[in-house]
Amino acid sequence: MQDEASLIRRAQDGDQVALTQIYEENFDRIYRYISIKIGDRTEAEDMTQQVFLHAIKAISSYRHKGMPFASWLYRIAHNQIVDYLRKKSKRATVPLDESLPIPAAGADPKHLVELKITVEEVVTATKILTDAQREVISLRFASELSISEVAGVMGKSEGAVKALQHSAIVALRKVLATE
Amino acid sequence: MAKVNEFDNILNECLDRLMKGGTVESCLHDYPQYAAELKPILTVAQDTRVVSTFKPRPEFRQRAANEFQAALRDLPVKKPGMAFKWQLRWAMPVAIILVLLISGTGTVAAATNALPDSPLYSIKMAAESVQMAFTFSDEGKAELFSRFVDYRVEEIVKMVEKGDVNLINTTTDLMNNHLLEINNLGLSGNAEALVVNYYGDLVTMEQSQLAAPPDLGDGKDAGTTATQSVPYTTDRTFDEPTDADLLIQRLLDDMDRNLQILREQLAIAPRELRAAIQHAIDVIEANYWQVISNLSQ
Repeated sequence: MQDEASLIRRAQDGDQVALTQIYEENFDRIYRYISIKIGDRTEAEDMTQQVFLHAIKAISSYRHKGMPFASWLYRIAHNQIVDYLRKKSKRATVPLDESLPIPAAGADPKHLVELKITVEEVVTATKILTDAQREVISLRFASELSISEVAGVMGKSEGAVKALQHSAIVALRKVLATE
Repeated sequence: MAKVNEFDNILNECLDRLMKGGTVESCLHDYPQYAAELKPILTVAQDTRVVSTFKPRPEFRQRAANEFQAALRDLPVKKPGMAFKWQLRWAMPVAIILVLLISGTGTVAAATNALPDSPLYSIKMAAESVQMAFTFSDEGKAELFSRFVDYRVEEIVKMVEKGDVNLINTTTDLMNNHLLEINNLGLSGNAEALVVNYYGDLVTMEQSQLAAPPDLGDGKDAGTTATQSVPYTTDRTFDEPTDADLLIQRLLDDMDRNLQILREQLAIAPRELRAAIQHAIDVIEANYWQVISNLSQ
């Protein structure tokens, strides 16, 4: 936490190395979080970019309140998603199927196809969840945050997040079991 | 209700274990009383974990990185302000207390060579704060911060010998802070003249053509060496250098010397330390040029 505080202070002073480090550490997981929440690759890419451009403009206003800095980035992402869903038009969306896992060198192509199918099934299944449940699944499984971090981002108690996590997985189970 | 909470806690613990590479079976083994309920949920959770394998497309990643770097370059340069004043407020009382407490003892002397993994290192840091608090001119402070950067580079070399990557990174952060403090001093001078002079000296030494000076408005590609190719004519006259100009000259020399030391370490260091050393090199390159760019405004 000491290191993070120092990193953020440097970033707030305009230190480009620190800002780049923040970007590198959070880029993939913010992208995953947005992807799961909106299920549209093109929009997820644009929105991810906007999160970081907004962050570097607003970082001087960031105040540490005991939560990890990433919580602040997720809050920006969350607000953008809310705006997007509010304005969402009927234009065609680009599904996430091209955001398949990057194969490791020498990866078994058959395994990769299976993995891709599973990813698609899970993403499709999340559409039956409530907004709060999907938020928990995105933060917990796509971004790999801890319960306390998820609670910080969502402004809920840890107990409430655990209960949402439980109900979300039970709901997913019903859908995935019938497929 | 209590049972529900207990189950949610156990489920969460098992999920944490899954996310760290644990297995469903090990969790069922540890909580046999909940095995029937846990098994289907954890199996689904394990399937759900595949979403963490999403990766942005490489072409998107590249485009986004380029735009991010462009946005960084467009950031306004932060003017000297509250941060340094705030430091002065606490530095003076700390300095006075420290002087009263430790003058006449050998502790400070013993701490002079302390490394970041030594208990005496905090004394060394405090002694540096005292030095800074009793340095009153901005040029003097800038030189002192630059000398502290030299110390940090020496410490990084020692940490490379010890193979301690964490302390290399910590020391690099300290070094970065020193360079930011120079930035915050708000000095000004004719940096363009000095950069030309600097490269001119190298030309004399190397008997080769003069390279174009770095783009001071950018600072990003400023690590270009003098032996690269673009010719640059020096048929202009500049005013006599001021104290600030001479300071920039010294900073350029400090940067050059420290980069050389770290690059030598990079060439001989074990593979696992190279990323940390490269980061230290990047910090020096980016920040010294940022300092010089700011000094020229």
